[in-house]
Amino acid sequence: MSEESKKWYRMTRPLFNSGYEDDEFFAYGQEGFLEQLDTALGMDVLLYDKRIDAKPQKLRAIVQSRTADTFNSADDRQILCPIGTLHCGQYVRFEGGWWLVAGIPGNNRIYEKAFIWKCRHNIRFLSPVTGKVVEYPVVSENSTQYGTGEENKTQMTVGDDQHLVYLPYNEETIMLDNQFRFIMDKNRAQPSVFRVTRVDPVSYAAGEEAFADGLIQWSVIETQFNEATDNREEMVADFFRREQGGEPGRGQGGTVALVDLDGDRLLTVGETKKIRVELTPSGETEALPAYTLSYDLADGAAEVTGVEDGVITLAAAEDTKNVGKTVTVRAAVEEWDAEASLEIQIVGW
Amino acid sequence: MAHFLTFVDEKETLRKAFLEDQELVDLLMNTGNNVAAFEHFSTGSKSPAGKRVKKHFYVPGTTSVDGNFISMRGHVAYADSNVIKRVDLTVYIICNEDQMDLLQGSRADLLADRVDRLVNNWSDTLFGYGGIRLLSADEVQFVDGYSGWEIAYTTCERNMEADRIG
Repeated sequence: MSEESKKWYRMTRPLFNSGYEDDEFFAYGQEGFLEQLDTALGMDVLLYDKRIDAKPQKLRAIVQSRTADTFNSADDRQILCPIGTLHCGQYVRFEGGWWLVAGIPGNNRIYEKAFIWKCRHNIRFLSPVTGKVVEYPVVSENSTQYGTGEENKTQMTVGDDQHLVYLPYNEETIMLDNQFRFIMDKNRAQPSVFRVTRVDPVSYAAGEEAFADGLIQWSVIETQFNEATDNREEMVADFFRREQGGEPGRGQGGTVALVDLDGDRLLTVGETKKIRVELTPSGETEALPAYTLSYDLADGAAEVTGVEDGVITLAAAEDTKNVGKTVTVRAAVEEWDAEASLEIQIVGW
Repeated sequence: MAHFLTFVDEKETLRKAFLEDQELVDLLMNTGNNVAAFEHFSTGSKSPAGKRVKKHFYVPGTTSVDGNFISMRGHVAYADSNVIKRVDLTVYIICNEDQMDLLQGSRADLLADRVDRLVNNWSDTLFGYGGIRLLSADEVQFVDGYSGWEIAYTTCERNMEADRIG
């Protein structure tokens, strides 16, 4: 048998296909899908990359399973997009609602598909990156579904709800660790606060090949609303923090400010605190003007032990009776007609 | 100080003494296993150890962040004279078992020693009358993963009639 005859002998010739169908199919499959998106099957959606204040990408997509049969299936839908569009952890917005790309997207070489979860609630908190209020739509699942939601302590009963909360993984959400508190409630008058007890960034990650994608799962437990630190108007827990400086005084020639170098405006009984006087002229000037300092030391709750190079040293008296009192430091620049003041509260150990 | 303000005063004084002690703050905060290589954390009311020293009877839950804690619990032992009462203050040294073994010994033992040096004092005492005396001490496991010492100190304080005496 010749060599050529051997090759023919070993070759399996297709019975029905010509051999060109594969090329034909995939050359036109994706374009055919794009054409379908422009029909009534498709809809306009906005795609946000892991946070809702990111600039959205507007595109056409097909959303499946829109007519749910049960309560639970109403939360789950599938989105079909051109290949390379979807990432786990993205937000999808359509028909006014927020949805979370919860699964790892995959494609069949025609379209890309991922399942999406309905975000039924938005939470707000202070960003650990920027310090500003940010908002994240989340998926929350009550993990004490058949519990009473109460826990009997020795002398009282407190709320004891546990939830599993899902939100996108990004550089901001990964910074939120155990003990992080947030408000999650539709009741704005008496909102429930939750505390993170477990952060699981692994079980819903998208793999090493898509490290920036994925979800974070929090286990959270109900905790008490703190009137002193939580803000129900903003619906942000741990909102009230004492600012570093007091009221700066702005005048015609410049601004005078008092800055607490500890940054908390609290002075503990028996300890000292340093406060810096800062003068910022409006225009260019050769020499800074003189300033005068005055104090309201709350009947000896504190004393000024020194003023050196614009830094005031304030010492609290060793007397717990002063706890809760407020001492005030003022700096005035007569030339600029500006006065700044800073209130410091005396606290105990 | 009369009535239960006694405990406010005692606990504040104790917390202050603990947070001002460099060795104790370092033992609470460092996570390494070599005391000689410990970093110095800041002391005083702004110390990061402030959140680890509690003025109430606190035991960390199993879901808490790993850490070492000191907490306190008051007890009036007897008050039969209306002028003087004997008060006990129990100090709990609560250490995470994963951070317990240091090259120099058990972290809980070292912390207990440091606490005892600050508190157990007959002459230049932190509070009370006639010195603060060690009453008893036990090694205990608080919850799964946390163990340490339960150290009871006792001293005498003024009772309600003492206010009238001035």
